[in-house]
Amino acid sequence: MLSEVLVNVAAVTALAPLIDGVERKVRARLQCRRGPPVLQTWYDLAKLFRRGGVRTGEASFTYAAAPYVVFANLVLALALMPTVFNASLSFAGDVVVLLYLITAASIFLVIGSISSGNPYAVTGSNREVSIAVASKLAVGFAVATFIIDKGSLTLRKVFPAVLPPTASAFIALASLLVVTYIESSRLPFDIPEAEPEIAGGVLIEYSGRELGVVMYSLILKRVVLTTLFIDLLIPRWAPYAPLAYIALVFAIPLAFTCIETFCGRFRIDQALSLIRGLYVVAGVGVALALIGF
Amino acid sequence: MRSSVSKLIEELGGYGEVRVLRKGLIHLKACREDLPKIAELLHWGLGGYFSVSVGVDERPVDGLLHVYHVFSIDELGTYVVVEASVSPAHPRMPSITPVVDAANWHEREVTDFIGVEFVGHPEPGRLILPYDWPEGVYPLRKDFPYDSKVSVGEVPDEVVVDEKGLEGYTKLPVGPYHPALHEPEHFILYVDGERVVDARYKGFFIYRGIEKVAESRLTVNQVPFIAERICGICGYTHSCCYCQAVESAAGIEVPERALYIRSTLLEIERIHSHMLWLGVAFHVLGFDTGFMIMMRVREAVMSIAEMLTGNRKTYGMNLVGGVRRDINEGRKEVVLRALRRVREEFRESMEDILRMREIVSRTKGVGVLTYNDARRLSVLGPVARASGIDTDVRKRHPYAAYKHVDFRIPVYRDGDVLSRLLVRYEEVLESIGIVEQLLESMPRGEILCEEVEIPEYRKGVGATEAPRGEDIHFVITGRDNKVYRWKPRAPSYNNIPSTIVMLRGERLADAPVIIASNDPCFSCTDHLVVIDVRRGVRKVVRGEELARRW
Repeated sequence: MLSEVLVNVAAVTALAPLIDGVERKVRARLQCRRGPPVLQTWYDLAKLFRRGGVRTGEASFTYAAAPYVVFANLVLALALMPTVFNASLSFAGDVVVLLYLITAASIFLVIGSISSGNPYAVTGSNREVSIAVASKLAVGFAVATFIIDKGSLTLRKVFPAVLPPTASAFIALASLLVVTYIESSRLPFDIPEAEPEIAGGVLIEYSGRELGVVMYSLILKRVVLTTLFIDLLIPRWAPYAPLAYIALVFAIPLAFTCIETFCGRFRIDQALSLIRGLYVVAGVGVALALIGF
Repeated sequence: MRSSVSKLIEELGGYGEVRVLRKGLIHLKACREDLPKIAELLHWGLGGYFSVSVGVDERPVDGLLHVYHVFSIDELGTYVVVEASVSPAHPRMPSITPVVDAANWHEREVTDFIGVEFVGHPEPGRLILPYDWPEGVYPLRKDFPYDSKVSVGEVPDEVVVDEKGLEGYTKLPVGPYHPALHEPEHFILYVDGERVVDARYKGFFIYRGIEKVAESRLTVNQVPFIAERICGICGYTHSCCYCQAVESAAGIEVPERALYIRSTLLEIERIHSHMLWLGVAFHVLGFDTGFMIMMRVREAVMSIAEMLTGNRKTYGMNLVGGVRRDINEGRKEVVLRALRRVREEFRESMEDILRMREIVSRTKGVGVLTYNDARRLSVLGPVARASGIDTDVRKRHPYAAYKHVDFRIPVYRDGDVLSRLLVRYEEVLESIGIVEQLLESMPRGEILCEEVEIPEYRKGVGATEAPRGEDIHFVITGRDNKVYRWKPRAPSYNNIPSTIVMLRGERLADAPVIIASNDPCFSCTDHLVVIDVRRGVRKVVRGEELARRW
């Protein structure tokens, strides 16, 4: 069991930069460019890992440690969910731990970034927190719908054998899909990084290996949320589940990137009002689940 | 029209000796104490705008320092050059900035370079010279050799700006190096949360004094080439402008075919410049696909320039009296076909893009410059036209072959980023039409007036409508085949100060697109020639240090 979990985590961790590479290729083709090789994201990360970083004068321990904490959070979150194989660390209440880990990843990233003292990092962090808090609430609502449906706080029991044909389940999945999009900091929502506006925001002071770890974490965050969505969508016990997982874990980001290619960037207030609309919808889903629809 | 020009001459006559140098250029030799009154009359009374101030050290000629304020009276299609002189022993004259805000930088530049002090200037202080430049050394005076070295003093650690009333707000440095700027300029935004309260600007980090080199080392016909290198985007307009200034000073008749060639190339330059701007604007708004599309369409325009001149950019075509090379008639059909395709592709992509919600909602009502502010600051080109000012050198002071073609000047009244975007979008379409008309009707004949006689100490003004607005060059001819004084003023020089007004009260997220919406060409403004990190630059502002402190 444990070895399967390890294989799961290792496989997805290794696959994540490749997914990003394929996305970049597709995006380039849509923009009439040739685009980098699909392994480019891996090459980028490998290069960053080899490099020493430059730190600002006031860089604290928090600033240096944060990237690793964020990365560890996300790897742990992956271990809690079945990915390629139907195996995961499972215990009562792991739903709560999962939500905690995903949220903590954002929070630690922000703490590390703010401690650099850079005003752009502060602005970026401001935006990151605004978006993270708003969208995590929607994730919470979506998962809560399934918890109410199954009456359990254990992930393995929450994941459905077959998708319940209720209105609330559909609303939950739909809002989770949108949150996955928003949280993966894609246009028009890549506001915390917004390069031309705030010069990378939360990322601005990171360099070298630490920047590599942060970038890797952002890529992993996308996969974690996609995985949560897939696990709620497909029956994990079916024999075709591993294949379906791999297909979807590529297909969903690719669909996202096609949307992203044709978007500009929202301003933070425009994005937040959209997200607020989203959790009203997700909240309605929970209410429906409570009364049994 | 004629009668109103004579009325203007009559009115100005009360202030001193008025001469009509040539059609569209009036010269007034005034008493320096009258300058504010004359500025009031020309700028506010006659609806002109302030164009440029030039300080000239004419001690070798008459022992005095001269200042020329140039105004454009759009209604009458004429420039008015107001000249005042002052003795070098007491170089002080009244400032016109309290009357015409737009003169702020211009007067400070004259103080920096020539050493004339303007009494009553609201914001006196260094503008261009670096902080470590010694006091009392004026580099554009004639007794300052172009190759002399000055001993520099201590450099302060920070950019010195006036922060009255802004204490307590977060300071956010945009620049000198920032991904949205692409050139070293420094905006300091005072931010309250996500809202910009006020802003300050420090530029001229890359000023290299090419006018000094031109006046001391180059001959009349070498200057067009250094002028073209002032800018990497709209360089041709500078070389045209310089040639027109010398031609106007010497009264040279340029062959008609050469004028057609100049106009054609100026419009090609405008098309590619506006497309580049649109691409950058989309990039700043996060819409990188739009940037890629614009670059793809623009590529065809660069090829057209190459077909016509042999160069994609920096055409190297101009000489005083005409152009150096003829354009290739054999390629006319290919060029016209390529232009038709460019127009189709450009219009199609722009129509799609303007339907995007993010693009419109992030530009509409953002960064508004009101008509009054636009007038007060004498902004130029698309920035002025987006704020309801109907000004365009091509119509108001026709030069090259523009009187032979038919085109429209788009004017919008909202003064926001969207208006500036739409003005440029429509201008591209107009420019494509102009190039087509010019190529269809280009007359045959000479391209260069070979017998050029340039008399000494004649003054000339050359103006073109650059992609960013009125580009103006002021020239005084010299002896030995040289120019005595050459002052290029790029349109961004007048436009950049308006950025501060646009930024007030806006959201931080909109700041980059507002800054970009002016299409500020910092290199033009600073007269950059060679890209280089100058000694002083790194010392004056250190990015990391600013960040650490704030």
